[in-house]
Amino acid sequence: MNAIECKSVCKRYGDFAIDGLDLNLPEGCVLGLVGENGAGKSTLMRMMMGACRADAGEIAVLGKRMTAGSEGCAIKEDIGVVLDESCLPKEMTAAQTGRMMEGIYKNWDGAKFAQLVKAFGLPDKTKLGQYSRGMKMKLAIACALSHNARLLMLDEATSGLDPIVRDEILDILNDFTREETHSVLISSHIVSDLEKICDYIAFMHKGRITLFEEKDALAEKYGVAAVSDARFGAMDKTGVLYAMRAHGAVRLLVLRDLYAGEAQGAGIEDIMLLMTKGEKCA
Amino acid sequence: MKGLFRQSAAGLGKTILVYAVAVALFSAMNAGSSVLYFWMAYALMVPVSLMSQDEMAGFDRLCMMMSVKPVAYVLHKFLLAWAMMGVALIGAAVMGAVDDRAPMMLAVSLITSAFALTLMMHTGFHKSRWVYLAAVILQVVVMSAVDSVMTELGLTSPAAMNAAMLAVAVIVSAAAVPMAARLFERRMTA
Repeated sequence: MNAIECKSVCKRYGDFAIDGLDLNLPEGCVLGLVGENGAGKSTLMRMMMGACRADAGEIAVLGKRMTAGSEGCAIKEDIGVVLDESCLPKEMTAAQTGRMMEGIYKNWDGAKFAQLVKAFGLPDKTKLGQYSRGMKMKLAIACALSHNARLLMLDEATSGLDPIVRDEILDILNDFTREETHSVLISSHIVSDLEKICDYIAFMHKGRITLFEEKDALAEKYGVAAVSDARFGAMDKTGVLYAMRAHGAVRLLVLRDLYAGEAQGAGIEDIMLLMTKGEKCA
Repeated sequence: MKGLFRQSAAGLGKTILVYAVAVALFSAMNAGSSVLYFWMAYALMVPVSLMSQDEMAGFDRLCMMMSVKPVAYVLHKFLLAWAMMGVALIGAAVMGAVDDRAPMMLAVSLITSAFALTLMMHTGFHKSRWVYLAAVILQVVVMSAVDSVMTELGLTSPAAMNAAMLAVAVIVSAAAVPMAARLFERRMTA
């Protein structure tokens, strides 16, 4: 079963459009959604979270059709959401947040929340306005993990955090996915984080999914090579997907099976950069 | 909705304090029914301030991603407004500022609050701060105008008229909730 299934999803905001997007997150897996600012990641995630209406297409989350507003409320019991901001009023404390969530989620586990707040070292009587960004994110994660969610969706949750806090958060996500039915969708600009935890990577560019691969297959399938400008003009371009001119050389994103020259395994960042800024060759 | 009330209770402290100071100052400077209509008009401040806090934190956005129905979010703000009107009535009664015009004032307050909250749910607080100010001014102006006319003509509000006005106000307020919920949902999920 897929934890998330998007079929031909469309959404238009002025000049920007997500147009006929298909994407699946297999159950029990971690999917990293990468792409430049304005690629449509947050819009797509908001649609998956039932906080934004799709103009067309279908989104199924945990086997049920996700619709925006009142109708999708039942599915949201099983989804833990962490946004780029904690979105919790700064006047509240962690203890008050727990009591509030208890009144919102039917499956709220107060003991688990208290345990997570303690484990994350969060003061439960300090107002959230005095929390650091890292603490707010940890609290948001504690909330997301305390109502027996089967799917976690994190939208830029690790951006702006120092490497230590990010590493702690990745550990928490790793623990969460030990359960086979638990899945995670995470969008982030910090590709090193995604490289650590993701099973799949989806690359989004201008409202389209331009790449969806198993992370471990990326470096085997895609390579990066650098050639001189002169050589690039004359070479056989079989297997070359994208080329980007920089500093008198041409960087290439290639399919390693087809490319005749030498290429190193591509990382997510290489792929993102070349697909966004490079010229399409094949 | 229990969770939303708990969240509101946590953010209510400063708002209630400002409300209490404002009405105390006004009450000290005035007397009679003008005290009541100030208390009433200012009651809307509480749900509106909480809406503003929610918007600033992005809590309304978060609600749409949690299992909170839009109608629950909207209804709890309306309930807070109604509760504050109750507090205003009780407070003014304690000060001896409640007379037979109180039902008329309550009706005006209910109707203007219903329109103001519906419009603010539609556009969001930060785009329509003026609605709140306009609602407060409108309430005070309407209440004081009716009050002066009745005083000049030596009229008292008959019980039947009071009951009719209150019935209309209750119907308008009750009808405003689903309408505001629909508009809120449309804005948040656009």
